[in-house]
Amino acid sequence: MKLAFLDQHSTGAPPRWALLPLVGILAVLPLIPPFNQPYIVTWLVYCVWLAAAAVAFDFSAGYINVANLGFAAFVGSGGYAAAIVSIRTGLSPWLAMFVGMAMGGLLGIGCGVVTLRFRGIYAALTSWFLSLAIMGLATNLTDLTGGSVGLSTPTLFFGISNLPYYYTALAMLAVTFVVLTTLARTRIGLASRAIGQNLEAARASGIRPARYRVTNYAISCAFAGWLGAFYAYYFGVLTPNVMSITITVQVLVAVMIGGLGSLWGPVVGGIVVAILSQSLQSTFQELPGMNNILFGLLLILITVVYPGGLAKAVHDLVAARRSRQADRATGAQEPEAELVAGGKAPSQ
Amino acid sequence: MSDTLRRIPAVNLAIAVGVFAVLAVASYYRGSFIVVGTLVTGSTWALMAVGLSLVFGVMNVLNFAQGAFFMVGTLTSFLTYGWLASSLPVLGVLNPLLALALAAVVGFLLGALADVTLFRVLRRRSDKRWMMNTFVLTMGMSVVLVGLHQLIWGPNTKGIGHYWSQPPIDFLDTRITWDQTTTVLISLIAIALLGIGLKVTRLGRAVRAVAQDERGAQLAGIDISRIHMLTLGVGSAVASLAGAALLYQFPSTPTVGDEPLAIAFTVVILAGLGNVAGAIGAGFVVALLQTLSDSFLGATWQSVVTFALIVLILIVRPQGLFGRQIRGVWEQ
Repeated sequence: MKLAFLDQHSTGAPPRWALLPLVGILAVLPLIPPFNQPYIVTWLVYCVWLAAAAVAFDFSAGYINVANLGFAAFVGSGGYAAAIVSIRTGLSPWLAMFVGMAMGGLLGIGCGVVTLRFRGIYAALTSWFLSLAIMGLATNLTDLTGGSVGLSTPTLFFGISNLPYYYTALAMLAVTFVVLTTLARTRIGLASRAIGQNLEAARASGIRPARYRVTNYAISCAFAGWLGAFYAYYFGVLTPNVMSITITVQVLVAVMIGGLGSLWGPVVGGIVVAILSQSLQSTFQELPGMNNILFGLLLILITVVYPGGLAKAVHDLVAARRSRQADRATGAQEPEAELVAGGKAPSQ
Repeated sequence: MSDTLRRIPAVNLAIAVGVFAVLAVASYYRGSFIVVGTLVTGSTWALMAVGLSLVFGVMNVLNFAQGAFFMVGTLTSFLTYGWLASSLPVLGVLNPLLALALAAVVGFLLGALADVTLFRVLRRRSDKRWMMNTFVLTMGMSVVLVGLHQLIWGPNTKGIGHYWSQPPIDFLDTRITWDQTTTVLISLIAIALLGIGLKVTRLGRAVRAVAQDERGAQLAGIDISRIHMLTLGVGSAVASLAGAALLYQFPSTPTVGDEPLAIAFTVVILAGLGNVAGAIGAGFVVALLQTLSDSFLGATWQSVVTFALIVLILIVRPQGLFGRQIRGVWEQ
């Protein structure tokens, strides 16, 4: 597929090896003394979970340029589907998690067909409206979901340690990241990115926007459902509140901090947001509301001072270094010559 | 505005006739309280949505903090009214009006302050992904305001039974309280004043000029930063006023603005983003949907039915009920 108009810097999916050190650190972190206390492990589970959710969110927000404001509804429905199936049929939670994934994906197709008729911000807002309707459904179908009282779900592990949950979540983060970065290199990812950057040009290049947009959205929602199933089994209780905009806001902030469309940025952003929100909450227990204020102020600060996020900072650093190297090298014209040769050079 | 007027005959007439027909049938079966309910909430939603739409049209900002400003309005009015009623009862009927006015003023000041301290800085920094960035920025504002309320005034509900204690009026078979009447009046007066201000005054013309073409307006010598400040101020003030007017129905809590925020967004999308005039009609359509689902299916189904129906309407008319007055802005 030739998509000459694509911004060359952002086309290349991130190098996956770059995250290896981070994965290594995360793998041993809960074993090292200051971090092996139970409450820190509990935080870490949420960190890793939020990072994975942020990557899934970014696959839509950063690629087809649709910030799915109904993200939490897909997380919630995945959780409900998995929990209900394992309660009613006795299916192992490990397998039921994939029921959650299927639920998220199917719901994503259904909602995507509706919301993705619109562009950009319209699609984001209709997703939000649909998520409110889904949340209302979850509250009303009391026979199935237990209504606003909630549903108590089976758990993945017995025992009090959260370490097994931590490694499960870490594995899920790894799978999410690897699958989505791989997809980003395939036709789906390229087409999605082209659509997100310039829909008309993408259409002119022979991409059918509707099909790829729905596919991309459904994949993102499928991962949301899968992660939602873990959420249900981890906390052991599920109320329609899961679907409220709180989780969506956290995920959105994580993606903004990390940098939209980079997939690796949201991993870092998710960890940062989860640590912040939880440490603020526990530090200001006697001052309810203080955590919100500080969290909001931080959000404002990042948006106002450095809107590009972490990914842009790294990108700028690398670009600056490259241009310095290019200045030093004598054959500075080479890369551009290669580009012209690769594309269709004018015959005359 | 004249463009909107010219488009009225075809679609808008059909929508108006449809709304009236549904209203007539429903009130025949259920009673005329449906008309009253639709008028009361509809006018308030219209007021909130007009603010949202104005801010979007002029600044290209989707104001997620509109719900938080609604909350600010309920809180300001609650505190002011409570203080006035206990320390200056002689003022009588003036008390609620003062409380409402102060709520609007506080909303205006907060909105203007946000523009000067935040949006102006962001605008100077970058125009790339402006819409996404400002959306997240208003989310941050909303979180901070909610947190402040929680920190200082606590999470408990702060409400009043009514502003006006005069006996309700009997109209057909429904009792209409003075609060309901004044809410409709205040909302409609505020919208009318805003519309006249935009249409007639020099400042209003400048605001519309900025909405149509920012650079052109700047070339014509309009002080754009002042217009932006004013716009966000007015947009927040009307949300705050709406909250204050509905205090008897929405007692103030930190998150009281969540539902009105979602509703205001549906109204604005239904009207077509940036279409200020259409927001009024759409406000009543959404209120009608809410009142009907509330009456026929019960309050718990309200959100499901309302939001599902709105998405359904959007599938049939993706450009919104009344089309877009300002084209091309939202596709950025």
